[in-house]
Amino acid sequence: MVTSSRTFKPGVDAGGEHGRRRRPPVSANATVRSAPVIHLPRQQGPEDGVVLTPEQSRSRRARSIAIALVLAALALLFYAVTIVKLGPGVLDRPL
Amino acid sequence: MSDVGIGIGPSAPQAGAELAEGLATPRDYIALLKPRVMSLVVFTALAGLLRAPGDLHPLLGFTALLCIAVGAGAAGALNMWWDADIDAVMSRTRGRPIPAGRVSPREALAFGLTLSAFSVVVLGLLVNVLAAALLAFTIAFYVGVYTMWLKRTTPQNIVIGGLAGALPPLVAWAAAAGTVSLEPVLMVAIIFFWTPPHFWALALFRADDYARAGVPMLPVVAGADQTRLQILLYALVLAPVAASPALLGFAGPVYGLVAVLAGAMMVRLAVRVFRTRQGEAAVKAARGLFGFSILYLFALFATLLGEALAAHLVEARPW
Repeated sequence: MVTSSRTFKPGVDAGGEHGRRRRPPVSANATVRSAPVIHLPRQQGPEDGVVLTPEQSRSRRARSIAIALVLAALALLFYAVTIVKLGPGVLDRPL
Repeated sequence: MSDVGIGIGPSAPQAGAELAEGLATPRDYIALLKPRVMSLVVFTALAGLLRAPGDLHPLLGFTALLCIAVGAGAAGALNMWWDADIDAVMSRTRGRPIPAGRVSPREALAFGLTLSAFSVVVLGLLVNVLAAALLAFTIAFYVGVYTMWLKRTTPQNIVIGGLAGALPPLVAWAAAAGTVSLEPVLMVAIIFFWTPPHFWALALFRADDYARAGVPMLPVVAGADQTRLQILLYALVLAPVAASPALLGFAGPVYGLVAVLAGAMMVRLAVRVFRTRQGEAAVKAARGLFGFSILYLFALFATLLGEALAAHLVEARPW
């Protein structure tokens, strides 16, 4: 099995200026062309991947809640409009 | 930042500030929708919706208003995406989410496109296709014709582009009635002829801002005196156009009275702007016209709305 000579250094990334840490990007095309198999570490520590600052976490949580509320409101709106468009006659038909 | 240079604006402008990644809050996305413009759109659209013939269910009416508001907001977000470079150098707009670095241009583009498509599709599926087509035209005109083309190329930008801001009552009328007729076209005409004196009054005391941003507003290109003349001419056209719904029998005497009195005041203030050309008094005159123009449009459409509500009440309880 061919393995990549490049090893990942988890948690190290140029984006650290904003408190974010990323893995180095892996190009899908390059991977397919040279067909290397990249072994990711099985055990990842808490510092691996994207680590958000507390402020970023708060912003993301607020965005997630807003999206959830909007989706719930839309589901409710579509349900209500469906009932309105069906009208009362939908219940008044022979079985 | 890598996000900033992705095909935005004619000169791929940098947004002005380093992007604070992941810090955008829902409030920033609401700001992208230009809520103050949206409130005017909703208000004028509501007048069109309630004055239209037909018995649209209130929930469908609400849905139509929601779609029109979201469509207008989406157009505003796309406008902010394209004009991020201009916004970054103008004092009035440099705090907007993109130049302030809270939202990336790519996010604003995705947000605007998604909401545009969503508002048009939902309006078409839940209300009617004519209204959806008019809303799609409004968004495309505002973004494609005004924002991307006219704004940076001609001092007539807000005259022609003003059509996009004038169309919401027509879209709402089409949503309620399924057709269009002369009355909503008159509403469109009122907003269309109101737009130049309103924005040129603003441009008179913000000319430096527009010049620094390279936006060819009339005071920047043709000078303040020519702008004052154009303001007066448009005010003289606007006053009778605003009174025309009463003259043609679409609106009642209350509206006619409001339109005549407020129209006379609008012309008077435009004359004052035309005659007062020097110093602080000239700025004060322009600010006065700008402020009153908002009140004027509000009074016209509030009266149209009030008459429509009164008619609905009488219809509901013919005592």
